[in-house]
Amino acid sequence: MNDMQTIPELGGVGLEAYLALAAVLFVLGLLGIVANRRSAIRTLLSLELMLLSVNINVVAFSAHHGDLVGWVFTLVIGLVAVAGCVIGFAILVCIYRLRGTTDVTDVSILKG
Amino acid sequence: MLTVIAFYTLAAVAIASAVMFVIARDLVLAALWFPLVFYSIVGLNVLLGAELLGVFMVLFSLIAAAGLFLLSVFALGGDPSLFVTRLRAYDRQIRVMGGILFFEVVLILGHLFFRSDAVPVQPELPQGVTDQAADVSVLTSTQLIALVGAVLVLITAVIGAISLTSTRRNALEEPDFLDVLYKQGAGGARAGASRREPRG
Repeated sequence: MNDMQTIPELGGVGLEAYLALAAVLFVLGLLGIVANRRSAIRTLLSLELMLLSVNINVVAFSAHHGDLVGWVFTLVIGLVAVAGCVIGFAILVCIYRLRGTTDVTDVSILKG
Repeated sequence: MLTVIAFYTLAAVAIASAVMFVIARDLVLAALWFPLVFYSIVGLNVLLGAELLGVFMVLFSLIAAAGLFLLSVFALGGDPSLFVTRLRAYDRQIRVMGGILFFEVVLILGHLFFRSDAVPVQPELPQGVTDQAADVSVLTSTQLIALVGAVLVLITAVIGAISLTSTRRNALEEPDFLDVLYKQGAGGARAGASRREPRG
């Protein structure tokens, strides 16, 4: 059904280049979470970075196979990511109002 | 050739901006580097032939930027002018980022207007299926259900966020009961320990 020979290259380079880029960005997002544990905002943005790298993979494979399903998945992932960000930032605003800081280590009353 | 140059430029900018985002000690500076990563990835999507997806991603980013702006304004006491004043401290970095972004836009537009080797994604339709029928078959599939579900999740999240942030709580009038208990307990334990030490 999908003739892969109609798409010999993805944007002038091969699929491997996109996958390598996505892997690098995913690792950087992971580093952003691990290296900056205190800031909740930075953690949320690092999660977004990881989601973006996944989106690159999905779109690249979608273009490679000539199938539009990957684009729909990317839209769904993007919408859910924005929803998560909106809720996360709302919770952060509430925490900031109560505590005066968005430091994650200060919000530990549920630790037991 | 221009497409290859555009890909490597966008990839380099995305990785460099992500590194700057991770290593920046200042949170505002890190948050300023993030849009550069995002728009580089949008440019990569355009290189892959997903222009419509790029438009949607830009819309998502605008929603996220509006949320960040509101958060920053709330964090600075609800005064937008104070936010702008704080942002002016990063004037030079913002200019550099704007220049890089403009260069990326030029590259992407150049790719769109002068592409020769890039083949846009055009899935081949089965024999006897028209474009219109294919569109309808996509729209009535489970993909549309997933998309509508995601939109509903987003709307619910936005309503929840608005109701969450519109509830005013004054920390001075309503102290955190658990926090007070915890501090009293810790203080009591320390006092008890200090009382016990001389006996031992």
